[in-house]
Amino acid sequence: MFGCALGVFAQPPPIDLEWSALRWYDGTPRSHIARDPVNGKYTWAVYNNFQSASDEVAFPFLADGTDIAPSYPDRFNVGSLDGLVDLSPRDGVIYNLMSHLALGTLPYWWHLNNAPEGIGYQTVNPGVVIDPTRSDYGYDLLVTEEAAYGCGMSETMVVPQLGVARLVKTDLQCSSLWDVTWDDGPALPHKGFSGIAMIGDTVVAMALPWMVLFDDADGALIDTIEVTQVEGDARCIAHGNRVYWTMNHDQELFAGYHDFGTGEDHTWSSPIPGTYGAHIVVDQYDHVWVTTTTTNGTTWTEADDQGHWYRFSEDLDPIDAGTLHFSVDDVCFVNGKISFTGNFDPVTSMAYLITGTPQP
Amino acid sequence: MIKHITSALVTISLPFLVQGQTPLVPSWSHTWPFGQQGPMFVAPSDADNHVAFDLINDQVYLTIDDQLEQQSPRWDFLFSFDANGTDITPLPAPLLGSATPTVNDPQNMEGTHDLVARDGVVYHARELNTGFQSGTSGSLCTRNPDGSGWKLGLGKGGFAYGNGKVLVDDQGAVSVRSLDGFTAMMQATSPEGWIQWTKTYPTFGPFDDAVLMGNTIVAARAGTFVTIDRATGQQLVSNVVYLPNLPATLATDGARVFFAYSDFSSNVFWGCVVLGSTPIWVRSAALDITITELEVDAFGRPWFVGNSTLVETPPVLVVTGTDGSAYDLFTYGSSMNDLAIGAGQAYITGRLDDTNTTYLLAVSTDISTAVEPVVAPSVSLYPQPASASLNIGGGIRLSSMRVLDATGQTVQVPLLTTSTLDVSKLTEGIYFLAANTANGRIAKRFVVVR
Repeated sequence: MFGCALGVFAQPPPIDLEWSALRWYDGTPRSHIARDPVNGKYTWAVYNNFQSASDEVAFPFLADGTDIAPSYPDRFNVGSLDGLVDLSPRDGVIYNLMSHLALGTLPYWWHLNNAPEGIGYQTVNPGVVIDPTRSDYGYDLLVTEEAAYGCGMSETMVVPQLGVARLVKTDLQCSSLWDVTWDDGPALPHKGFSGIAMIGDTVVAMALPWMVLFDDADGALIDTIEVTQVEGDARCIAHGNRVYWTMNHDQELFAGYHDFGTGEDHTWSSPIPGTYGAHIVVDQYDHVWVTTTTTNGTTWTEADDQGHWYRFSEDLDPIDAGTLHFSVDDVCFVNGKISFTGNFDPVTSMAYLITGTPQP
Repeated sequence: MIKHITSALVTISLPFLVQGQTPLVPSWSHTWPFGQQGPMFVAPSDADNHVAFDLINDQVYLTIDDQLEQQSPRWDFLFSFDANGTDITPLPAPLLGSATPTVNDPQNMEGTHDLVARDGVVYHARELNTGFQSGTSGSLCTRNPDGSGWKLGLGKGGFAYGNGKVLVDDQGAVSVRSLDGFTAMMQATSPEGWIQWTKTYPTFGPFDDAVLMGNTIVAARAGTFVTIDRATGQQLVSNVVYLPNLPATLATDGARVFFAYSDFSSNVFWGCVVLGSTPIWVRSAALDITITELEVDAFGRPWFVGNSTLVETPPVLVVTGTDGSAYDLFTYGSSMNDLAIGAGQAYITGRLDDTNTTYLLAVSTDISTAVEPVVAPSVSLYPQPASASLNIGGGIRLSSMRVLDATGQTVQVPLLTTSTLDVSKLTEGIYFLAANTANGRIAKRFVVVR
């Protein structure tokens, strides 16, 4: 366990900085960063009510940070009430998971799309009369060479309305290949899958304390593994034989892994009040990076927010940690480069993006 | 590709510039038969052409638009010289700019808008055209001697063209730019590129220029000084009015701030102020130029260069005395795009002629100035805009008079005895009344509407 000194620029992450960017946002300061593993381009999504209509704008960058935004950048605005949950560009196609907001007689649902302004798979068919008290919530997106996966919670799939975890696989055109739900019983500690990872031909869906395994071919349930004692919504990533996960829960930051080769489980935690928005990546040195944001206020936009980064060994032994600007909303590691994005400070309405090479 | 100018004299004699001036002889000079293309619709064609002097390693750096504009519209060459003029540019010459986008990306053009060098590291502010009448995306970039560097993307806000500038000290760099064309913005980075602070300064529009004075940034906009804490970006003192509401160029000797501006009515003004007080002095002259750069030499004398708003009028280098009260005028080539001072020399770059040949020359700053300032002549033209006739006021005796269109072509030669111009046959547009007076030449803008 280690502490983190507060301060806007206290301990920058141990990377060789290569490029960075700032964008003025207008609205909810929540940004996403993803890199296309095939063509190397970055897509940075920043909420901007000025250049868009209350939606995230997709700012493209070449691998060296060259700004290639056109006059009118793409926007993630499928429908007028969508919010971007996650994005994953691949070979020039920007897959994205959008969560549709509830309005009037319409419930929440989510889209899995293969273009910023396209419409792909939808968990609720708008042509069907929907019980407005039932909603679907999307939580995570994974795109591989062959398919796209979206997961979340669904109330529209079950009767009576209790909510189940839902996992969808589509082809790269977003046509559904299989669509499954999972329910961990009457106790219902979790009503949704919060993260997706792939280990070989197995799709791993997170519903801590469970990892739920599905056959990639047909979505058949393979197994459920209790990997920790804590419950909550975790992000995850596969690396080698392991699926690493991280989660904010009850004033603590958690990180852990399940090793599918040895069956080993490991959980690390640190009490950090007010923490939210944990993300996890693994770099080329097998170092595990966890990012999160803390707030001492009542909301995550309070002026005393603070972005945090943590670096661990592959066995989750802490190496170092530090703070980074006002928040770390997202982190990605692709092809040897790591990127962090978030809100720069509490007053300037600037989103930041920094990219560099992790140090050994 | 590079050749030395053999001409002994830099000064080209022109009737309205020769009065009392001592010709300047270049210590050294170079020319390049290319450059100066610049990004269309973004900035003047000289946007890519800049010179900087590195006060630590005594080297001169020059950017010129690359001649492969059509294939690589984002690159500018970076040349380097020692203070003696020896070309020490690595081969091939480094390129500043961005990677050429793929075919599916915008083929937009990018230019260097400001250049600063410190201890071998070149800092360059860039603007990328994001489409016709759609403004520019800005960035602040560095280039180390080994070719490495970092970049900070500043994006495009709204639909305005940016005009990035960069200030550099031992703490790192400060980017000075517009957020959206209407709001001033600054960012500070460490020497390694880590963003330290970012601030916007609403109201009164973007900053015209800024200088570093120790722990304070001094910026100018709308005729005012704004002082900013270098460490935090917090505005310290706002809106100390010192000038008319005109864009100013700034320089500093570390204790005083020097400024220069054009009133767009054929007059330029230059002055000196200590922060927190009224200007120490302000001088003026009848010069029809837009000032492109202002520097202060080791003797405390302002030097500034500017290009005429009239196509046929040559560019001007102005060197003044330490109190601004005496000055000399020099000209060279068809444009003077940037100026730097260091190691006892002034370095000037611009376009040599209409073939886009680029020059860089060095002249000693150890010169004397001899010309007394003149009272700027002025006329007034009314009504504006005009459709039938235009009255000439001001009571100044004119020795010649012509009406020029926006391209500098003469469209009318009025009688000297007239006090009213007949503009009824002119098409709608912007025109200039160019005239010679006993105290110099003037050019006054007017608009014709139909």
